[in-house]
Amino acid sequence: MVLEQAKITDEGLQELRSRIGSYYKFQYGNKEVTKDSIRHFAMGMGDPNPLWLNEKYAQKTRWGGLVAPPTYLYTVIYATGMRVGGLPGVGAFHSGNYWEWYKPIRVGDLVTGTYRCSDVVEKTSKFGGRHINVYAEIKYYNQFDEPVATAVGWTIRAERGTSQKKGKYADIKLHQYNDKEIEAIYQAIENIEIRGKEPRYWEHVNVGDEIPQVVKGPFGPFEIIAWKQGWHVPLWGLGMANELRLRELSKHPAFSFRDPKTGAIQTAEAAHVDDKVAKSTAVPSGYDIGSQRNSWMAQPLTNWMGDDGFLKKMTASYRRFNLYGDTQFIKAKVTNKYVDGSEHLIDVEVWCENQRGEVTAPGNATIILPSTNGS
Amino acid sequence: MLLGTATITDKELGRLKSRIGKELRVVQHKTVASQDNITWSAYAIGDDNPLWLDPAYASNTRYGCTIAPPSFLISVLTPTGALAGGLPGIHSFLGGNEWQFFKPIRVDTQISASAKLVDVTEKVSSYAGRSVIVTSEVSYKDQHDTLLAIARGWSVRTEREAARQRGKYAEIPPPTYTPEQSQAVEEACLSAKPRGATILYWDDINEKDELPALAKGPLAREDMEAFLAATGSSFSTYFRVKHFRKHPAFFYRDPGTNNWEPVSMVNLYDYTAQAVGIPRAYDAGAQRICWLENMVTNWMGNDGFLERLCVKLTRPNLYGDTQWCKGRIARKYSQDERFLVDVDIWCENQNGEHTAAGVATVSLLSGKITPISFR
Repeated sequence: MVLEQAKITDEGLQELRSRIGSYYKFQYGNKEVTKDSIRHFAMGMGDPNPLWLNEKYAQKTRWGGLVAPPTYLYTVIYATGMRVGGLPGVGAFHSGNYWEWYKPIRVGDLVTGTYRCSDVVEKTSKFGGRHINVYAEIKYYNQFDEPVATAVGWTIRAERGTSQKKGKYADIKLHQYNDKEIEAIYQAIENIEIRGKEPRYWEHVNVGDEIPQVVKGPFGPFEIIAWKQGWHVPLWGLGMANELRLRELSKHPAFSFRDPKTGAIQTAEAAHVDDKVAKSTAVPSGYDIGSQRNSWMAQPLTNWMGDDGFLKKMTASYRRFNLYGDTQFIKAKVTNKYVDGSEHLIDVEVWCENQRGEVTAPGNATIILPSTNGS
Repeated sequence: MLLGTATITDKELGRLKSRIGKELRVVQHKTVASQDNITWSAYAIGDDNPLWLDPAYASNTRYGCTIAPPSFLISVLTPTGALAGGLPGIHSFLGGNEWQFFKPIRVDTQISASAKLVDVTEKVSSYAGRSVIVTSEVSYKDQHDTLLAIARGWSVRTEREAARQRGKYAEIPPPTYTPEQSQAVEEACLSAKPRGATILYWDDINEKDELPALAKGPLAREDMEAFLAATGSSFSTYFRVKHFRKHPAFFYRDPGTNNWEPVSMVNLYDYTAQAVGIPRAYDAGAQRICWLENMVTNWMGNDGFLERLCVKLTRPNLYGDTQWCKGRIARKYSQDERFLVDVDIWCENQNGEHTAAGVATVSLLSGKITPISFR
């Protein structure tokens, strides 16, 4: 046992429910959208779209300069239920997001926002027995007080002990690839199609069209480090080293654990890179971060829609862990096309499928495309 | 064999030597000292000095705004011999840095770094036999082309197989702490505080005075995660595969998944470190240079200026180890109307072994003169 294992009590749940509707203070991640912060984010999720990375290129697009990938907003305010807190010592897993974007995120923007606990719902699951979904609503504004986006993030709170007994992942083995499989994955990663400056007109899209996949894998802790160069959540010692982490964690002991031999203190988040810590929450190895998966799932959409498209809405639920050695094939297809007012819209289904053929994260999205009639 | 067994050949050495004096192609991780960039770098070394982090506090200092800690430049571009590349498959350890700082780095300063290879010297090391010391020099300039700092960084390039066979560090036992030792580390971590606004006058300094020690440890994975994310040595999916195609010698096959993983995993996994003859995962080296800077700037206060920082890394810092950063005044003198002290600085681990040593030169105010405004 590494992490503290507390029970969900009726009192704890009642106390958590009393938080519904409360606005929370939080510490911002990135306050200013800079060329560096966009690049760190794009490099950290593995997205080479020149709209985020190449200033000269971006100047010639309709946006007139660099913009950030839509889920960059995770680096400003972390869109999960985590910040709501409560139920100390009970496991917390970021498990889904709903997004609605209104404005592009441009270089030079100063993004601020609000964080509110919007709901607390009790459920039962295969994975952890009794569990609670904690919902938070995050609103993002730019320096002109224009709404940039609204996000809802939910976090499952499940008893770590119970989840251990259920062992949903007990039979999963580390996946070993042969040379051909590795090469095929690498080629799929390299040969992505980025539509770029050539508009994808709404009229030329049909229901049932498949969107070219994006491949992410095989996964390992090096992906977490890459992700963290762009993603900053100064919460409960995350991203902090040495004495700063110790000081923060001494205020949040239930989010921490100590190495039994050396006494080194770490956050519960170490489960993402440390198999021993992951195992104490019934997960067989380190695993990815929910916000990272959501960002990956947006990538085939932004690749496909081109510089003139706009990702309007997206929902993603992280149903299964992306474990050490797993590869996610992110697929999408067009499910609907329609016009709403002046907007020419496409609905898509988007999902992550791993090398075992399991759908690990279903989702859907709505994209605004340019129209041949000029609107 | 986990990592390759390349040897240092005269041909490869000749190729590397032929680049001496040439400008190196480098990619900066950070290009601006934005407040966000400063904050993430400072967090990654456990430094929360308000002179770097708190704009309201810093507006009342001689600078009138936040400045970046001197070691911020390590996260712009780390001065190492490895910048020169060459000797594929030959391991690289950072050997040390020699910094000269000319100007404070104010928030929002744009920074451009250029590097050249200055020296390639062969030597025989007790750790790995035939070795090569490769030295680069990096110049950091601001947007007005004013020189901010120059740094020399050298790397020790060693044959992995030779290091494994010699096993100089193989017998290092796992770290153990008595309760008293653990308590001392923790107390030092919790009580560390920058001197701040109270001026440290040169007149009050005596040779052999000791600086307040900083404790950094026990080293854990989250310290490495934070530091690697802040200094940007990691790539996700698309960028990782591109990097692999170009520099396959920077990767090894994970025995579990068969995936190509970056050699930088020596900073995360014990088994990768063992492949280069080190029994546990170890730090990036540059961290200790940053930590010693943290110790000196904490001591000198807001009105001191770090002019020079030389650190030679002499032993590895392994997971679970604690580094006590210490300093003692070696010399006090005045030169060109500056009031200077040379400070002997070193890192000492929990066993009392020195793992890094060097000297810092700090310019202080004298009570005999009026403080100069840096605004």
